[in-house]
Amino acid sequence: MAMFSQPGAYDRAITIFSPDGRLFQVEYALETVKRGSTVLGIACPGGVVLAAEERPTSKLQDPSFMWKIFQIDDHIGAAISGLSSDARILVDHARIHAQSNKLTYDEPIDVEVLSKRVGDTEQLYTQHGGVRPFGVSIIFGGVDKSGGKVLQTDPSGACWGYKAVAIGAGSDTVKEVLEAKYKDEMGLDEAVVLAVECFAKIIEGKLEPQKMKIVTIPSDTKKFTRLSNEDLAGYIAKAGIA
Amino acid sequence: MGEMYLPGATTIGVACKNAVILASEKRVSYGYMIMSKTGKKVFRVTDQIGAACAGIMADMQILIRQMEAYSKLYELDHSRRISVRAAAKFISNILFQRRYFPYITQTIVGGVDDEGSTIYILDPLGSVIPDKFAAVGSGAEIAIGVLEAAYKDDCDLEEGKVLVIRAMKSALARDSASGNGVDLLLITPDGIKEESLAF
Repeated sequence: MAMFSQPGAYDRAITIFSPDGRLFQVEYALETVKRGSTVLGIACPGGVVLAAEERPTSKLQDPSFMWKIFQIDDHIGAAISGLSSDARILVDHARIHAQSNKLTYDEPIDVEVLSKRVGDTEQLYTQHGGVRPFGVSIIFGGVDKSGGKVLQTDPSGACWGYKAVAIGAGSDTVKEVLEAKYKDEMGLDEAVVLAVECFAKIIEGKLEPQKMKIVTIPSDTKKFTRLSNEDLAGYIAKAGIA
Repeated sequence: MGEMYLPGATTIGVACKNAVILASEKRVSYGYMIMSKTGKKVFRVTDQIGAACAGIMADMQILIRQMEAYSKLYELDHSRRISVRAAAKFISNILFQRRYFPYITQTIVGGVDDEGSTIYILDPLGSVIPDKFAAVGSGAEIAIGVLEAAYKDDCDLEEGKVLVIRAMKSALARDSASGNGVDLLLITPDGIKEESLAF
């Protein structure tokens, strides 16, 4: 806790600013995200890639159960890091916003609009009394009228747009790889290979398909598509890691 | 749709190549009394979308004012222009909410967006019907006959304007609830031009 100046009275209620203008509960929530598992999002002309590292806690766990990447609408997915129970609440909100946009305007919601709506909900939980912030960051990725988009929200409700981004425990390492290897004119296949290369740096032991989950949203179909383990094995081979 | 909903007016919308023309005559009648000879029933909504109505003046003004406000909010929120379809759908939601105590309006929403030039016809209960040309109001039967016979796909703005004026002239000559000139809204990707004709 040495990094925070004088915690104490100002880290109890989130609606109270510390004398140097900080909200400690929000910063603690960000710590939760920093300890979460690593997920990433990449936007390119070919579409969007969302990827999550998987660490099975038991041999009997159902490997098909997805709890880090969620489908929000046909054309949008969300990758989460932090408390997955908190994330599910925000994912439910996001799904409702997506459908309500369709009912109101007869068109699929923009990724940016959706991320801002979820950010609005997160912000409420940094200002109201008797609640705590969401201990989760979310990467929203999807293809809308303006092409492939990746945005990230955090517990403060802030919202940023990225070409490629990562959150969670291994995010610093992954961001270094992304910054070094991201190219503006990448195809979707190249972007998936890049995601695999990122995980190669953070996953312990041999890189295997069951240690990650990847979803793509291609620009042409605009459909959320899960990659199978066979697909992933192919991409691992393409990345030249085995 | 029974006679009680048929509002006294002639309002026309025509989709041309890269342009939309909306037109309405200027007469406002309360039964046999001509209340106004300068009523305006065509409205700008955004820089690329307009609406033209037939029906009760108060209802159309309130409806279009809401459409304008929400289109502006949409553009601020989404950082892009609202599509003609989205704007029409939005009005349709307002109309459908008032299903049991409806706004007495028939509306033609038209404009130019990524999809090209489109018009949508909305009845008082909120149906949204896309079309290439349309006429609503008490003069619609007369005007639509002229449009039906002479409308050509991909006509340019000038050809469309000639067609709209011809249809208007026919309707105004034979429909007693319509008259006193025509207001035109010429919508192109460069913006909206308004014209008024006296005949």
